[in-house]
Amino acid sequence: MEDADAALLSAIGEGSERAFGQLIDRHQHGVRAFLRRLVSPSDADDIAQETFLAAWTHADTYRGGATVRSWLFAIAWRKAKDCHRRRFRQRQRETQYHELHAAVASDGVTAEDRLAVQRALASLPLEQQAALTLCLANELTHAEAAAVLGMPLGTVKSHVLRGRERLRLALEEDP
Amino acid sequence: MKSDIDRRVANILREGAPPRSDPMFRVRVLQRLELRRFKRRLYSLAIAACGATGVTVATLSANAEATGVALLCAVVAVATFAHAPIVGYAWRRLVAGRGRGAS
Repeated sequence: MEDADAALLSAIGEGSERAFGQLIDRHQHGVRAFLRRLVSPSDADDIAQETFLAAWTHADTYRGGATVRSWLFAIAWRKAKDCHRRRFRQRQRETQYHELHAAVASDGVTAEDRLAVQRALASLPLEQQAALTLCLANELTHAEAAAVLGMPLGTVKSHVLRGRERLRLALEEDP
Repeated sequence: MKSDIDRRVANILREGAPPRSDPMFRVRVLQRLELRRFKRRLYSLAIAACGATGVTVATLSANAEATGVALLCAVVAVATFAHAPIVGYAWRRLVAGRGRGAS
C-alpha cells in the first residue's frame, strides 16, 4: 500500500496525471473526512482540492520519512488552520444547524448525541479537534497524528485523552 | 479496548464523511489543475507580450538596425513563455538526467 503510494508520488513528480488521479481516488475519502470535522463541508472540499494540487506541485519534495497518507494529512492540516483563522467560527454555527437538521440517525446515534458531541468538539481547541479526529475517526496512530500535526507525541496523547473525556462527558450528560 | 461510548463518538465523528469512491471529486481537482495551468500560461503570455512590445517600441525609437534583433528576441521570449511548462519539464528532465549520470 505504502510502496504503491510512493510509486504514485514518484510518477506524479514526473508529470503523470494518471498517477495523480489514482492518488486522489485512494486518499480523497480520508482527507475530506478529516477536513469535514475541522471546517464546514464546502470549505473542506475546497481545501481537499487545494491539498491534492499542492501534492501535485510538491510531489518531488516528498522524502519518504512519513507515509504518503500522513504527508497529505499534514498538508491538509496546515491549510485547514489557515482557513480556520479566517472563518471557522461563523461557518461552524451554520454547519451545526444544517447537520442537525439534515442528518438521519444511524448506528444507534441520535440527533441529540450528535449535537452534544459536535458542541463538545467545537468547544475544544482546533489542535485537540484535529488530534481526536485523526486518532478516532481516521484511525491514525498517535505517532502518525503527531507527525501530521507537527506536535510532540506526548502532546497528541494528552489532546486525545482530554478530548475523548470531554466527548464522553457530553454523551453521558445527554443520554 | 474500546468502550461503547468510544464507539459512539467514533461513529459520530465519521458521520458526514464523503463516499469512499467519488470520481466527481477527482474530476474537480483535475479541472482546477487545468484552470491553474491555463491562468499561468495566460499571465505569462500577457507579461511576455507587454515586455516584447516595450522592447520593440524602445528599439524602433532608437535605431532601425537593432530592430530586427529586438524583434527576434521578443518572438523567442513569447514562444518560451507560451511553452513554459514544456520548457520547465524538459529542464527538470535534463537536470535529473545529469544528477543520475553523476551518481
